[in-house]
Amino acid sequence: MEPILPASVAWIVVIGFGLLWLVLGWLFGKKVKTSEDFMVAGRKVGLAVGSATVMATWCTANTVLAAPELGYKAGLWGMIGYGLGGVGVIWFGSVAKRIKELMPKGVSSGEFIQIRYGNSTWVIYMILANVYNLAFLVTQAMGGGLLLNLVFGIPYHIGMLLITTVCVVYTMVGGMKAVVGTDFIQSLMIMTSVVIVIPITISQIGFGNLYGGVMENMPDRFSMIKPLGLMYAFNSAVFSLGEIFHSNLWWVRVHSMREDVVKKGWKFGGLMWMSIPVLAGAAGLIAIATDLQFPQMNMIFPMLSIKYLGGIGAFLIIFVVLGAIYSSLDSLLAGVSSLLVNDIYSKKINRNADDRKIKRMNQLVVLVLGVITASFAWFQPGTMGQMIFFSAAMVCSMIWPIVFGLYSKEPSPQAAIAGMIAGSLAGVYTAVNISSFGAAIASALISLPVFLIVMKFTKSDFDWGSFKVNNQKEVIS
Amino acid sequence: MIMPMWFVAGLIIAASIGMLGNIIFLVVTLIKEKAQGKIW
Repeated sequence: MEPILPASVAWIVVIGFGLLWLVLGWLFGKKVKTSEDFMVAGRKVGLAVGSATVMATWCTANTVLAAPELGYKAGLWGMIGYGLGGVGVIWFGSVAKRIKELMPKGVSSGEFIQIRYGNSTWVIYMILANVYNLAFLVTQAMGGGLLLNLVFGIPYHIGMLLITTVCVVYTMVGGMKAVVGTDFIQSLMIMTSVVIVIPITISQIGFGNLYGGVMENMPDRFSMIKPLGLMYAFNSAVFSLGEIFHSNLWWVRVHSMREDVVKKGWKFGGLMWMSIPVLAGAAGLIAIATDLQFPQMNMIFPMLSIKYLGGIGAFLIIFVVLGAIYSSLDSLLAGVSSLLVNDIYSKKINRNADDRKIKRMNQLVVLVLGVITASFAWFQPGTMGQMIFFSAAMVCSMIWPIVFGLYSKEPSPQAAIAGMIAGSLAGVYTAVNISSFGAAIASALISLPVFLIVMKFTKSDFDWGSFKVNNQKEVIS
Repeated sequence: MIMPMWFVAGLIIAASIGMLGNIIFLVVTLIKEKAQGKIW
């Protein structure tokens, strides 16, 4: 397929955006003095930036480019089902409030697991979480390179390295402040583009023709009774719970926000995100109605944008693609580095590290993560896609130990470990032998009874005061 | 069960209005918080 922009224009725009993020990262980084500023943005992020960073981080390039594919293949259920991925974000708003109460000076999800369940559970958590983190990092960098190549004709390796380097540099310079600050702008870029492209395209076609065209070509896309669609929708909601509840990518955002806005910020962020797959998914319906010929499914949105909006459409695609890729990759770098530095460096390797050393170690880890990510992404390993797929099935096994562990004194380390292992095995087995659409559900459904049964026989009486010895300011009972 | 046109149109219109509202909400909230010195 021909790139949608002349090579010279694409280069200028892509490099221009890269420079913009670097300058913003440097500007935001000027206010970063301590390791707390670097890792959790000084814990003062307000409602606007807080909800925008939640929305932008959850919005990967897939949200915009794969949603039309689901709209095309599964119709209404595809759009709504993908949108249900926001349920996990919204629910996490309530959990986030509890996390802030329990750990007002917390940094990572790992430290919660360690304090609440001990070292053995923490080791299992770190293995599962970091397999997922690595796969997520590499697939995002790969996705960036592939999209720049597909949409703008920029060679894969150069595009991938450009995006990864820009993200690494501004995250190293500005830490979490640079990440959430750029996320705000990126969230506006994404939403503005989507809300212009789809309504304008539909207004040119007409609702009647859109509906009539789909009814003529693929009427089942408007059916709401599709077992596969229902399963996909439910799996999507459960999957989002697992991804969000376990990952430091999200916990670090909880710790970054002010306590008075954390619950609202997450709920608004989730609601904001839900409208994106629904609207972007409508592009799939438009493609059906208009018999759009496309080389690959993920090109539906860019092609419609160019077809109906011309040059403006091309720039809006750049906004969406770059906004989505940068906002997710920078968040991963910041979230994973703070998890590794806080849990391993500060608590295991160098307990006496001063603030300056911790901040520098964070910067070093961001750099190393960037190098590892680019090295894997260079070879475009197909196994990464499978890795994220399997690890995603595993992360859903952590939902119950985390949720119950936050609110109840009774769950024991044995129950947490049993639930995590049983759920992981069930998730992977389902993915391999039954259906990928059922992996998250199987993982969550099997881990729950196993967790509850083992908890019944190994009840603990956890002391909430344990968080106090880990430099927490307040502890509630 | 095939959904009628009003349902499909309503879904897309609701998502569009919601997204416009999101953009306005973010900008207005940012301006308010800026005035209060509470952006971050």
